[in-house]
Amino acid sequence: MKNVAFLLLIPVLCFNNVFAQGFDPAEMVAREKENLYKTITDLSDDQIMLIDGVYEEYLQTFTELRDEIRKTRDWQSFRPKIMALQEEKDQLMFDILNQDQFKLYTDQMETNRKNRQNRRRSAENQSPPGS
Amino acid sequence: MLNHWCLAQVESSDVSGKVFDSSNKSAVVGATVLFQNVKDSSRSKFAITDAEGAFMIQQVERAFYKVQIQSLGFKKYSRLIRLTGVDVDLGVVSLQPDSIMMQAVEIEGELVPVETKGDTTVYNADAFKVNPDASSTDLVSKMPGIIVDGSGVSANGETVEQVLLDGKRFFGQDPLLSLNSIPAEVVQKVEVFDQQSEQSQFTGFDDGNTVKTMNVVTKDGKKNGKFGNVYGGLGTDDRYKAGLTLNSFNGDKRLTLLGMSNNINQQNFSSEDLAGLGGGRRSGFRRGGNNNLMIGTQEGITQTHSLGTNFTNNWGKKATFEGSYFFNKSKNDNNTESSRETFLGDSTQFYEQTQLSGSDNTNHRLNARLDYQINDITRLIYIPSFSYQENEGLENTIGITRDENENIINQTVNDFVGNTKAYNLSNRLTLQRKLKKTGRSISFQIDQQSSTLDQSNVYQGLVLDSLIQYLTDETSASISPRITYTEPIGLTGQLSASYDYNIIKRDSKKDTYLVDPETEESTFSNILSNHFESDYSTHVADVAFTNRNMGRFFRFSLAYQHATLNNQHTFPEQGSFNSGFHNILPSAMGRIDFKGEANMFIRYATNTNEPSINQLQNVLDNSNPLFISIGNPELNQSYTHSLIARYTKPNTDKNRSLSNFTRIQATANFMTNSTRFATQDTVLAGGVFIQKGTQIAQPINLDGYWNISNTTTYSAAISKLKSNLNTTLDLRYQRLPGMTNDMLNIADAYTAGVRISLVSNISEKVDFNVYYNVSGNKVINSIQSNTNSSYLTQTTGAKLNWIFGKGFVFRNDTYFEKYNGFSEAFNTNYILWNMSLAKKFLKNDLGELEVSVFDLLGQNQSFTQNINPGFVEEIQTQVLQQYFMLTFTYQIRAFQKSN
Repeated sequence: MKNVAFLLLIPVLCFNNVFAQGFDPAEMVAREKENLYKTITDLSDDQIMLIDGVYEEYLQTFTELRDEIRKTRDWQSFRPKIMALQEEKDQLMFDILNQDQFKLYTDQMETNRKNRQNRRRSAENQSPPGS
Repeated sequence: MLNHWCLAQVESSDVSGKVFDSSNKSAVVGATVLFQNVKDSSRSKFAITDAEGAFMIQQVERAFYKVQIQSLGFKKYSRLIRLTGVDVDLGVVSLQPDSIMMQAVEIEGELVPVETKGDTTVYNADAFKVNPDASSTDLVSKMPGIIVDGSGVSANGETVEQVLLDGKRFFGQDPLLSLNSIPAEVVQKVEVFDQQSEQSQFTGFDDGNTVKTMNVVTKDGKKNGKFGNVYGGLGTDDRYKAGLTLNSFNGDKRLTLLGMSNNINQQNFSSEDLAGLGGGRRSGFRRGGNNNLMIGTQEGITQTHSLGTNFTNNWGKKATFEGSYFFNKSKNDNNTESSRETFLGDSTQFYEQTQLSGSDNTNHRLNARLDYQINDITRLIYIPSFSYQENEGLENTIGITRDENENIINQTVNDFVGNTKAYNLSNRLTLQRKLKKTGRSISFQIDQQSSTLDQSNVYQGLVLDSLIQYLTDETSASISPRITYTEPIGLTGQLSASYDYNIIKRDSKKDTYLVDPETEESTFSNILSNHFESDYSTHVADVAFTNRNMGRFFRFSLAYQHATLNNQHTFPEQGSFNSGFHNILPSAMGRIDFKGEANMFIRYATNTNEPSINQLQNVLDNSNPLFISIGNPELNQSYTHSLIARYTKPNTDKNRSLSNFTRIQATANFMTNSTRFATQDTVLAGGVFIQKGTQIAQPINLDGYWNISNTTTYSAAISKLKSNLNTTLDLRYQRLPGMTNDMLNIADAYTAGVRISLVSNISEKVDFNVYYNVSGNKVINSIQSNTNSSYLTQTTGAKLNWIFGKGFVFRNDTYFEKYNGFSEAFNTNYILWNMSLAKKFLKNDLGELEVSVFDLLGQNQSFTQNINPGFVEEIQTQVLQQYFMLTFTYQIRAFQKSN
């Protein structure tokens, strides 16, 4: 039970740690979008306009969520809300990108997810147990 | 985690909506609605709005779409939407009319003079600089491809049949009258297009029945208020002029008043009021389908008094009314000299004539149109028209016919007095109803027409001392009901079926009396009298398929016509001549839009024409004793194939435009004349004397008529000169079959003409138009191919309007013509030089006092030519001679600001 409780604390501690270390969502979104445009090179002007809008909306919602969690300290609800936000972004990108472009997008998201996973594991190793 | 999106590709939805005009909330018919898939443009979909402005696109797959809605005359609508597999109703999409507010914004740089938008050529008025007092006639005269002369207006070789003002009819179908009543100052742009029929506008699919139309669009700041002018002038030689034009516009309510009186040949309206019935002219010239009298504005000297009014308004929310009344009274005096060369096959006859004539003509014309939208799906249109004409005429004719050795064959000296009264009444009632399914509709139309003509003519021959009275009483009545059903096919197609029945009943009584000049006793002449009835009826069943798609449109139709022509001769003998005709009448048309705004329109059509009662009535007409005619009751209807092709390519970037118009007509059973020449003096039963050499013509049907024309117009802006260079190349060929002394004669007529004009766009203060026109004509008659006739006309003109100093205006119009005719006697050249100096005064220069001179050098002349199978003719007519005049003009300008 202690181990379960400890395990549950890890993602919260990670998120908490991320926020405590001065994490900037705008930078994250900008970096993700920049990598996307470098990867998918045949976007039309309309697609670029729509993608810019999607990421702008995503950033705004993400920032609002983060500010809300900071106030309520309800870390438990943060992850599902972020997951839902991510799902919605993916839906929108699916409606904007053709099949080949969407494949590139999903590959990039998968790469980003693995990178985050590695960073989390690295943070876990650094945090003292039980703290 | 993201791979489950692949399964969602099968989601699709239906999208619908309506497109409306934001200015008046009316449905926009025929707008293109494009759903451009942002993922893959090849998976885009589109629709065309129907008669209710509605559209529906089915099975649109999930994606983001760029929605673009376009329609002629509106700004493009664009919006991004997302479809997620759920049906969507976009609701009402409002399109903004495409107009530019010129008041607050000063546009620098060149304005595009000509643009093509679909099937419409748009001329932007501000790209053509005219002087402040110019009329719309002066403005459109500067536009490339548009020619204005006394007979009317043409655009790129096609006759403009009506002028609209902001989409509404203006003085019926009289283009000259309409354009002369609208000052150039109020015009924003001029649109030239083929206006579709009521049926086409109702269903949204072109049925091929179009009217060449010029729509004058007024500027936003000039749609309300009063404008026009009033003027009066007195001159030497008892010349005078006076007139008033007043337009009162208040939103949808528009009233125009016209008044004019002068004796300097200014008519400002086209020929239909004057030449519709031929007036007092003898009926001999009306036979054979070639009416030499339909020659536009009257020649000679004409004194005109006219009044007119035009009124348009919306009545409530459901009805619009348009109506006009026009009255004119004109007195014409003329002195003509003509020379005719007639080819007999083995010899040639030369006829020379001098004729003094005078006529008084009174005409009333009333036109109206009521458009009533009963409810959302039912519409009623009523169009009545009435005209009444009285004409009294007198002709004194001296004519001599000589042979090649100048021996006199025959001659005449005679007086002819004519008195005519006629009226014409027509009504059209159309009921249109949309049925439950979008695109399905039914419409009923009924046309009625009736007319009468009463003539009392007296011929007095001074050589043979004969006096003949001709009394003519003609009536005509027709009725034509029509029913049309349309059914949508798919998203872009339409199938239509129609049935049309038409019956015309015509009755002509010609009673002729020989009068003893001394005792004045009248004797009824059986041989010169005739009572004749002719009934012509047609049944036409038509099926057509039309399809509209992105950038192209086509229509195919097939009609079957069963016609009967029943002629009854009731006096002096009884007889009947009955004919039946069965015809297949195919037609096709299409339009393709190319890249760079170029487009091509092609139309092939077939039609039949029935003979007139004058062509059928087998009575001898000797009212012109050297040119006698007789009808042919066995004359058949003619069948014509016609093909037109129109190509337009504007280059708005470089301010250039190119257009080409081709027309080809071929007629089977063409109605022409068989002409015989009396070989000796003859006296017919009943005492009718025919001199040797007299021409006796009877209409017949012959195959082989062709009429081919091609007009190319190119215009380009020359920036260094701030002017537009317009060039027109005109090529024509006409093949006219006829019979002369029972021998087939084909007259091949060739015409080639080039016109180059440089039209200034410098400023309103300096306005010039310099042009050169050369036209060569050649006629070859197969019956006598060694004698071909040709004439060459070269004209050079220069017009200048120069405003200088403090309100001074110098106007100069110089016209030089060099004419080399059929006969050397008519070869001539002359200069017509008109000039004036004016001073503007009063506030805003609204008043003007002008001193002018017409024909400063006293050289004015006039020539016309007639080409027929078997003869060519030149006519020189009396023209207005030099006079000076002092004129005062006041411009009425009281515009209100738009809401």
